[in-house]
Amino acid sequence: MIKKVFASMRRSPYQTMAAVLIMFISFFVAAVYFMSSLTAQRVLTELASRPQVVVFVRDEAKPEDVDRLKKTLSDSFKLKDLKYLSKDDALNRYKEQNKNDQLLLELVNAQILPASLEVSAVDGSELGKIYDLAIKDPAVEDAVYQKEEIKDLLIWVESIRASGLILVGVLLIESILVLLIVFALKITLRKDEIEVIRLVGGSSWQIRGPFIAEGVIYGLISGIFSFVLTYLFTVVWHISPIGVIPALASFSVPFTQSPVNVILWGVTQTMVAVLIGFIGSYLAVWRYLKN
Amino acid sequence: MIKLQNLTKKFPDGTVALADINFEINDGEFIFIVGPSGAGKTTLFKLLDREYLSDTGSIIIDDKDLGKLKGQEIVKHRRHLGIVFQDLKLLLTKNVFENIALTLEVAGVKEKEIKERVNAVLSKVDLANFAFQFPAQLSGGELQRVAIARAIVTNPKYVIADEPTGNVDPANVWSIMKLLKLINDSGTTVIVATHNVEVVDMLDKRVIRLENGRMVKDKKGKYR
Repeated sequence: MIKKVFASMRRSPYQTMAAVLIMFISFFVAAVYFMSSLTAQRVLTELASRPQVVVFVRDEAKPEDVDRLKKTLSDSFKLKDLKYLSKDDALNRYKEQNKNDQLLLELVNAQILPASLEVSAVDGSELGKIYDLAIKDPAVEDAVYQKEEIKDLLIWVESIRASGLILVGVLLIESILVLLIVFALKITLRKDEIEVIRLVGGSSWQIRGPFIAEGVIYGLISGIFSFVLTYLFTVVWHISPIGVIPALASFSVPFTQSPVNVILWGVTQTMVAVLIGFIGSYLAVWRYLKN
Repeated sequence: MIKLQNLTKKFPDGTVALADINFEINDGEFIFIVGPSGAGKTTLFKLLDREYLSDTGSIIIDDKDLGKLKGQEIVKHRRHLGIVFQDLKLLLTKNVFENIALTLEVAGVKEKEIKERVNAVLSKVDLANFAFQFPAQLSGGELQRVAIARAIVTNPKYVIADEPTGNVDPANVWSIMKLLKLINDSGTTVIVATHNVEVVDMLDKRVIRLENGRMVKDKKGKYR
């Protein structure tokens, strides 16, 4: 059967090339978009895991008030970190941040700066709730967090994810439709041969099998080549100036950190392509070889 | 043995192609099915290879009712038939060897054996030097012999030939009939549909005559 499949591919090289190229481009673009989405997700996770809600404690608050507040927050949320900064700690940090500006250093002492709790959450989307709970506490003077920035980031990531999914869906449907057209043409071209095979005792599988196998081979070829190109793309990204930026370097993480990941990624991408090749050719055979 | 009992075939437009046909063909027989165009000869052949299903009645071949065959059984049935189609159905993109080999490939015969059997059958039909010619390069008589070679290469029990002398010159008519006679002499049941009065009269075999879908004659001897 493999011989027949390759003979069929040779017999109509332009149709074969069109199908493989479309599938190859679809899978390459889908893979790159998927990895972009992964990068955006990683960037957000990194930002969201940094200390985000800063809770300023009233000067008159006692240590037990602070302990109670810490317990309330720890019990209510999954926190990544909860750090108490006393007035002296705050002054030390201020001094470190403004060590080159003598004027600013002279204006501030420990009494001016409030003690605070720096709260970071495992899930960045919970920061708003942490803020709401903390601000109600009588020991709290004020609380701040990068509300708008987090909201914007969440919207961006969701948009990238949604548009990525739509794009991947459209590309996969496009691949299936191209396969349908290509196999419809191939079936039409081989109509006489199919009829003879049927009349001399060819089974349904003998007629349909080679077309389905051809679709699977298209998937295999496009899957392998699109994976190789995606891999090269991430390698180039990693060594390019943009890849040096820590957050964006994570684009190539799945490939560069573990050979197992590379193999897994390659196998997954190829298998999905093979599956699409199978679905496309099967649908064509089902649609055009019904009788 | 082939047994047709009360066989009737109607087309969706109401045309009665065959009506109440009854006859039997014994193993090893040579039979002519004759009659004018539209008499029902091709329809009968299409019923025999299970392209069509009868409306009433039955065709029993080797104790199997064709009307009851399903999927893989139809495939098996067709592999026991050697069919020479009226329009030959030779594939123009394949050479003579490939056209004949197709039947064996379908039957799952190994490549080496295919080569041996195709070469043997090509010698039998006197086309040993034409293996790599394409149908477009052959004469009407040669094409007909390729079609016969394809039909007999699997050594079928039954060979049915629809107008095998329809588009060939008189000299080739006899070589084709001689070939079919040779196939019959080796024990194969041969059923030939033809218009050719001379051939039927000369061979003096059993003749079944159809007219307007009805069987009007079943007798050994002449066309009329």
